[in-house]
Amino acid sequence: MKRGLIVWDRNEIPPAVFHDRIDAFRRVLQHRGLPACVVYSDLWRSNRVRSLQNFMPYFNRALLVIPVEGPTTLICGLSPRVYKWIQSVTPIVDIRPGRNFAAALEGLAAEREWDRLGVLDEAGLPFDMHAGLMNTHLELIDVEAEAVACPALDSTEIAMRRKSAAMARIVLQAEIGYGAGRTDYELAGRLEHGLRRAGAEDVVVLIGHTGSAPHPATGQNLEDEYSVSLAVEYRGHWIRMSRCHADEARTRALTDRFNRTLNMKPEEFDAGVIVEDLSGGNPYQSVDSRAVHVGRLWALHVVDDRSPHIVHGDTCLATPDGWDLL
Amino acid sequence: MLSSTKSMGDIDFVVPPRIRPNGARNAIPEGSCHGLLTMLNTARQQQFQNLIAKSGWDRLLLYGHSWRKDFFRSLVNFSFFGPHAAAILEKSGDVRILTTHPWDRDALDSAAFDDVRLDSDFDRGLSALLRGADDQRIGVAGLELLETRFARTLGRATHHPAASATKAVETLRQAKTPDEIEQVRKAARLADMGYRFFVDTAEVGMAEHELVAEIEGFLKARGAEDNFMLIGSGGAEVFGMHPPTERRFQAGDNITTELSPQVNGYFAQICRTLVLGEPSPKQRESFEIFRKAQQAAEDFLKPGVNISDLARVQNDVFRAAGFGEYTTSKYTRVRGHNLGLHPDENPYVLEDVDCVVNESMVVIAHPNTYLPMSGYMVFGDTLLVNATGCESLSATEKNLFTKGI
Repeated sequence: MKRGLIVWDRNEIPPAVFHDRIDAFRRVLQHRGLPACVVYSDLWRSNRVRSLQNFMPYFNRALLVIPVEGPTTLICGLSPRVYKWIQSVTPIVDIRPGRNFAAALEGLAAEREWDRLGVLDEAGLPFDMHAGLMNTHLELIDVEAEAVACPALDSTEIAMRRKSAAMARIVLQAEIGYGAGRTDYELAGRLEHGLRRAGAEDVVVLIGHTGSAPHPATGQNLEDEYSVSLAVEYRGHWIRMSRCHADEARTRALTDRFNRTLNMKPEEFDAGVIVEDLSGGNPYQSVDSRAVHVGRLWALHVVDDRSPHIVHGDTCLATPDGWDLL
Repeated sequence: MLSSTKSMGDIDFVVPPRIRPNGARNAIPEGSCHGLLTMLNTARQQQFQNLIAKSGWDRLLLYGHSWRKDFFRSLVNFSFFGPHAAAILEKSGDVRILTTHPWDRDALDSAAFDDVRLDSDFDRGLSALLRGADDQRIGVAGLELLETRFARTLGRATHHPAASATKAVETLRQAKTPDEIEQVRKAARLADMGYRFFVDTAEVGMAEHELVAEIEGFLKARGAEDNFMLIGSGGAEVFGMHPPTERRFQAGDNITTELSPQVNGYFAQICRTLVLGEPSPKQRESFEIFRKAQQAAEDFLKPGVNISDLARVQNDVFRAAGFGEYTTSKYTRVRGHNLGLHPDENPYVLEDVDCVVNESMVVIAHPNTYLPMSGYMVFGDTLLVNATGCESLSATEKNLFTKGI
């Protein structure tokens, strides 16, 4: 859960970046004749609103309303007591309480004289929120996610993901050996500490050992051979990374196999390659390798043929020229 | 100086024995850790079977996603990687599980569950799982959390709109089983240890996010699978808590925290306020109101009382002190809430919430709010409702904590 640093460093992501992303979104709405579009966000599915306005509802839900003209509006389940904090970490000025999201949206629409609205990935809305919106007088039009997001075309997005990957790589390399002879709890704690001190906002640690695929720590003792698989979020930018702690020959063999995978097309992957989509509404989502296409970020993990606990993986951008390792 | 708490030593995180589901077929491989990862909550299984019968459903589906795993985990206590998982409980008690990540499938499959499926496309997997369910009535715990496309798939598969089982399952979950109470006790002990470490570690010049990183590392290394945590720091200008910022602690600050470690799925929570340096008379005066309000809640809580009155007795302390205004939603969210597999469970402790308290509920009463003389302060303990009253599971001293600088 979120408890790391949520911040907006304007040198890292200049305001113009969010402005340009909103402008691109608006062009899609204009093309479709829509006066505005609603984008859903919650603690876990925050990528889209984070990318557009840097907002993260750290234990709650929110709707970002993007009008064709004028500033964005945030309808937010968090208390008005934290609006000042929200305004300090986002370019959003207009924030409204969202105890009843449908009523708040209907009120905004009435103010702006909208009777129809786009909804980004309408079928992805939580069922209760969708039911509430369907009970308003508003006509809701689906806007598919692919129409408004393409990470490969956004150099800031790629740069931030590289930064996230670099941070995870440094911490993981420094700490992975700490686990040998200790419990997986101790290793998980060490990684959590190192990553959060380095600025990670959210961290998920899985540890694979004694023949078991990576899973949450259970207090078991680690022997000499194990793997760590991380999901790390740095300032809204998730990456995945897996590394093994094993003898040099085994580690090299797995790394070589991973590098060979990077020279393959997805349809050539063997069954020991796990693919995850890192460009969707969720931070990560396992997919069939046939789903891979250019212009999105993916995680590739290769699993040792004989030992499911030995894993190596990284985050990559699929480009027309092949895999670009972040 | 740090006010000390009693020494608690290392926590023994022995996970309850894995209980094999009905019809389980596999022996657990020697040395496998999966037995420690996964358990079927058989007490809940029986309750849910009764619920199915009482409600006229054919099955109960318990849905979880990466944020809200609690409905799924109330039957199958496994912290899946996700982002989705569902467990279907049949009238017979058989359990079928749908996962979306191969590592989740591997863990559950080798943990002796009969029917564990993997489909990275949850919608497609749900459709396959419900094949042959024509005209069946399915209760869904967590229906409101489902993506609308999944709810539509349920409706198409059964030719009936999905029925929400959320409230019924939440109500059952409010009263904890003996095994669940044991986990909450462990989480409460870890919260005590975590808070002691919090006080030991905080110092002038340290940033909020640096302190939180220290706490997270400490708790994870001692068996917390997660921790819900908010923090605030400063003086009378502070109106609440939030995720940690880059603000650096200053002499005289109130540092407030809500610390909620999760052990084997179950959360406990502690709220305390630490002052860096000697507290001012106003800080002490303010804290005394919080202390009395929390004590009023602890004295009042017992089976049969209404949760609205649990809020009222806390608010009455503020009203009597002339600060009734600060018990409203302008300054505070809730006066507490239930705890369990989610850190912020229903019922919320508010004067307009009608819910009768039952034995074995686990509630945090925290009269956290803003007061003009001190800024935002927090104070609360995890309370287990017993036959005659309640037991505080928090061993940390009920003090305004102070630390010399």
